[in-house]
Amino acid sequence: MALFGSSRDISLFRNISRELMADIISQEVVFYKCNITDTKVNMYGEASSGRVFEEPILLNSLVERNDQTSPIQDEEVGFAWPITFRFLRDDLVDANLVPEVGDFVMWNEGYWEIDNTNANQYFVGKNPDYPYYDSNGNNPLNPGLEEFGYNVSIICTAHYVPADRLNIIKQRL
Amino acid sequence: MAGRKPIPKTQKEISNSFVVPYDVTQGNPNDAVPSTKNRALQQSWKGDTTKPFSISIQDIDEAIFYYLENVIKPTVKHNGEILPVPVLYGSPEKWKSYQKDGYLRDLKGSLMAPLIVFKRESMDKNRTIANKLDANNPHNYGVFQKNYSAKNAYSRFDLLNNRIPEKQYYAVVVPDYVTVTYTFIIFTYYVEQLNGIVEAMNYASDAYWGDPERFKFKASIDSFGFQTQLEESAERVVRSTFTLKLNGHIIPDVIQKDTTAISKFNNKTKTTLFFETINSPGTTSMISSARSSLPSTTFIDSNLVPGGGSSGGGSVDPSVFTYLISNFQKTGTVTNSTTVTFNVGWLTPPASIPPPDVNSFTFFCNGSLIEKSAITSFTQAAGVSTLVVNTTSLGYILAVGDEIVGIGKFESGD
Repeated sequence: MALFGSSRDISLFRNISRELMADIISQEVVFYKCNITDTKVNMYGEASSGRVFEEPILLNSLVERNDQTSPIQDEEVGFAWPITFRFLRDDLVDANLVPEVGDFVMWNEGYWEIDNTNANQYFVGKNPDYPYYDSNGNNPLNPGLEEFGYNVSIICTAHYVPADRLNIIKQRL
Repeated sequence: MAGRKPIPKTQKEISNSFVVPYDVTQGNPNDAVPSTKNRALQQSWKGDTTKPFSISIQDIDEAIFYYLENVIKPTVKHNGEILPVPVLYGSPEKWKSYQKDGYLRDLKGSLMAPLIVFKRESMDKNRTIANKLDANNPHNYGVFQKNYSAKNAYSRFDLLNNRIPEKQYYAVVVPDYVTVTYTFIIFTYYVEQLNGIVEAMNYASDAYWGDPERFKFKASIDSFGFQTQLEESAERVVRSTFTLKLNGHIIPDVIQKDTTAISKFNNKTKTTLFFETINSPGTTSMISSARSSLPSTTFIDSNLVPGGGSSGGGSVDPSVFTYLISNFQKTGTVTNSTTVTFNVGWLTPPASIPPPDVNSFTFFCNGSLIEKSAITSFTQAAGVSTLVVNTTSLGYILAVGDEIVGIGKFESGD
């Protein structure tokens, strides 16, 4: 039977993490989930008539900002600002939200499209969602393993998207 | 006393000495535009408001801008709106790209699509159309006439009197013909938008691009490339690149051209004096008149024109007057392929009037003028005038039955 990372430990970490993110760091972002049902796609696989989003959701997040750069693209000065958004997975579960590649995050009046989601930050290396049950619903090595471990976060890396592309706010004069 | 040191000939003088004009009446075509070396023929541009003609590379670039923005007017449909596609020249200074063109960027500074960026890549000389031959001494020019000037002012009086004033011309060295190559990049958010712009550009290919009020150049696009690709940690690329070839020409505004090429000259004018006669009660008067650019005639001895000249006239002997106004038409007879006889002699002029000669007559063959250069001789003897023509110059031979008519100082007419 596992000795560490029980639900009591997890509860401690969950509460500390929430307090840290909500009351101390207090970085908030708005999450735009794509509505794939209502968004029309043309033969080139693009939503040229405009993308449809679900209602935006306000979330606490740790925003890890990389440097803004101005690379030369297509004979013009471009712009790049990669950012990593770290969400407490429990917040996402409460909001019934699953971040996926292609969703958008709005922070500081800018929009970022998620390139990658990373959900492998496990406390004590265990994910309670996968307790390795046998056909009888028991783990022969560690019975009750579902009570141990913690899937802490979902980390999203994203790239900057020109605001007028999304048709959320009017940017172009 | 030592002789004067000879002045060596210029390259142009040496070259021109070898030129044999095809048409001797027109002369050496290289002399149509006067030499720059003759300072007497050089003209000042002081007070001349005409802008010296020049076409720069920038004029060619501007032609593309004008055509894209005012004729093609590419647009895309984005977020339910029809948006004009901005056109930019590639690789501007960074401050211009980022600050002055800030309206093309969002709040963070990222460029918003769609956008057309073009840049001049190369310029190839085309020598197959025309060539000024030598920049040190241009030989080929385009010539434009100035409509009116201080020396060629519009005058009703001149018009009524058939006076043709001196004309002013502007000479422009033939351009350097070039093929300018541009690279275009069109980038949009969506392939659908890109399709529309590429279709518009393709339609405009092989047309003359430019401002109709200025210069237009033929532009052609041979192929379009498409790059639609996903990039890691970056926006999806939807882009088309193509090359535009534009057939342009350049006339630079440079010191070398100003110093070696003709820019302005006047036409050759001439003053011709001839007689007009008027009748006034009791006297017969003769006045002389000056006209320009009319066929040359024989100058009359001033002794014949008492008090004559440009200022006025005087009385004249009635016999002279009668002789001057006498012209008779006579039909001749073809005796062989080169000879025609007229059964009439010539008028005898009053004293001090030159006797008639071939220039006092005009001849027609079946209604067509027989050129003076085709006449070998025209003589009279014993009341018979004989015309001999040069059939080589005439281009045909005379045949029995041809109607040969002479008009001039015959003793009598038909």
